[in-house]
Amino acid sequence: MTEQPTALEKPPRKPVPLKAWLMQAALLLALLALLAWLAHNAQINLRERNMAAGFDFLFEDSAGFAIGEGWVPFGEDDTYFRAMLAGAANTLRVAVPALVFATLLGLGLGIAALAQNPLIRTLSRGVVDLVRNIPLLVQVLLIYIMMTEWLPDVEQALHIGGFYLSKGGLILPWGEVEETPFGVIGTHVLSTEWLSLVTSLTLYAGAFCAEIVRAGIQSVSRGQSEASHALSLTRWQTLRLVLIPQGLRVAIPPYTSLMLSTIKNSSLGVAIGYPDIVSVANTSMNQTGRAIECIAVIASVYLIINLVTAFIMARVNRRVAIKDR
Amino acid sequence: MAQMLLPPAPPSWRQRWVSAMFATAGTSFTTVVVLTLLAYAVYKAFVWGVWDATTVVDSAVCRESDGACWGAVVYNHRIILLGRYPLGEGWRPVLGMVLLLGSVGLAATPRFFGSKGVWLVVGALALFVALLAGGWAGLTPVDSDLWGGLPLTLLLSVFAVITSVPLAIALALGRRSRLPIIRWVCTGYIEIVRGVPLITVLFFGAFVLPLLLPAGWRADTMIRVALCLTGFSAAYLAEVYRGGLQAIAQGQKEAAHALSLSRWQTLKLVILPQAARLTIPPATSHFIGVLKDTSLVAIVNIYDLTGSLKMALTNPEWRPYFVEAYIVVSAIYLILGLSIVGYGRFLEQRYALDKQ
Repeated sequence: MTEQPTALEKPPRKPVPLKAWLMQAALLLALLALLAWLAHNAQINLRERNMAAGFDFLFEDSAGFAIGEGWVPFGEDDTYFRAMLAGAANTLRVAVPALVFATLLGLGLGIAALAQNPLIRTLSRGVVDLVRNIPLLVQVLLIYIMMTEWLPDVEQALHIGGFYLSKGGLILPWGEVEETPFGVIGTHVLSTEWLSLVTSLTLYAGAFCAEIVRAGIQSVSRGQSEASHALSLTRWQTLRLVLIPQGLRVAIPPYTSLMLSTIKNSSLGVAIGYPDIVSVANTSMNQTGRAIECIAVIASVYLIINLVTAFIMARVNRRVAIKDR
Repeated sequence: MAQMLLPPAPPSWRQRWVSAMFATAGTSFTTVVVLTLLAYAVYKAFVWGVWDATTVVDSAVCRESDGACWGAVVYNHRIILLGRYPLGEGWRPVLGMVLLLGSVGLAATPRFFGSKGVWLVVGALALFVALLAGGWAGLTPVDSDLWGGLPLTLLLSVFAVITSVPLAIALALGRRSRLPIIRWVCTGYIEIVRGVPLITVLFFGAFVLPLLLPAGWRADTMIRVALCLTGFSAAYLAEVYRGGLQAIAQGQKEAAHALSLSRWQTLKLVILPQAARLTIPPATSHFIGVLKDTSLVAIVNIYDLTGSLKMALTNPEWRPYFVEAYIVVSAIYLILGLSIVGYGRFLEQRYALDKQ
């Protein structure tokens, strides 16, 4: 007598036929052959141009260019490796504040898009549609050119509170600030490149975040807000205590991809000369000719950033997910 | 006899707005404040853009005036719209663009749905490239680094969209394949491409690809960059389609199998049409994304609409009037993007299930 499978047992997986295995083997061979062919071409091309290959330049050669700003102090004599490190730090230096501001802006715009007042609703949706449909690069370039054309020269910097704002950037009141005849010099300066990149990323990511917030709040069933109304919670309380906590579950996955895309979008800094990882690797590529290696460095930096972000967000997601009891 | 009682007419759009705008004292206050600010902004924009504005193509006049200097746009319109394409040959990109837009418009009407429309657009693309490149029927050859402006933006985006669709379907199916090697290869490709910024992919196409290809194979930068846009778009679109494929119930496949349809027939007649319907909204936003992403080619020195705008503004005489130029270019992107949104809505309604 044959044994009957119980209901809980999984049906056995269908075995993959031999033909399919052969097809896969052929695909694998073709891919390997393609890679070998590319590597072979690269060797010939590099020899022809008298160019070296390998990652040794990262640690042995000094970069010879300067990086004006960032958390990692960097001088011309430092190695390419340190330059890449400074670039990666600069990527985070622009992406993290932009994400924080964008989240606040997105919350505001997203809640406004669901306001009872149709005027506020329409305005919020109009702004979101406008920002979302214009390429980010156009916005970055516009805000940058606004800052470089309209801000006063360094000698006539705007003095607001302890801050000084001019074409040279924004000088923060912390650390040493000294007024000289040639303008103000300070320890903590945010460059115009940083300012315009953060502003445009905030607007762009904020518009996308508004859509995520709106979809998240709308995903909570109507009964929930009616029930909280019956409990005589105000609209604001309903939003804060009922709708947002439940909407978060829907909003976390798209918010995670918004975070990742904003980090990647910070690479547009290369268009205005902000020294992020792409910009630094691009300069290194032009100086050393090691294009393959520099692209590999960019890819690995983003890979690490993506993995860390995904890891953190997976933990956040687990916290807000419905607990199975 | 009792008169028939009709329900009261539903309040009109305007009545609903007015009653919602002045529902409570608080809302009325917000409405008044917002309306005042809005009116002030519209007034300011009108004074700047129309009342005080000048359309004279003379930067000396513009320096005297407080309003917009539309003359800057008039002066630069050829560079912004056509880039560095040789003077006197401008009709070629314009004609190609009209052909492409016309064919895309036709292909978007229900009469041309399916392969007919696809071939129409592919034909228009080929003709567009032939017109730009020249070298036949007495047309002067024009090198691809002189192509530019709006026609180039449209050419690159339509090319990337059309070519990335089949690649994306293949990648999505491959990622769901039960054959492990195919699955790994497709997943690896999709995740690596989605993991890096587009500008890296473009750098790869512009600087690394020439190193990896033998001497005779080095196509010019334009072709390499166009192919990179395709490969980049395909990775994202594959995830859109994968979502659509996942949403189709297993029963559909089994039913098709029971009707003795082959695997290929099942895919073509049962699975893909349903997945396509489900993916209309995300695919729409993806295509707008492709249109916007095309602007990044400006960073690798290809003068599409954004690149040409940047080039036009290097002229110090007209650079102070950059806002006017940016308004025009943004409006072009906005019109293109919003038409894709509108078309997506039309498709969604047409293929909605509850519509009889």
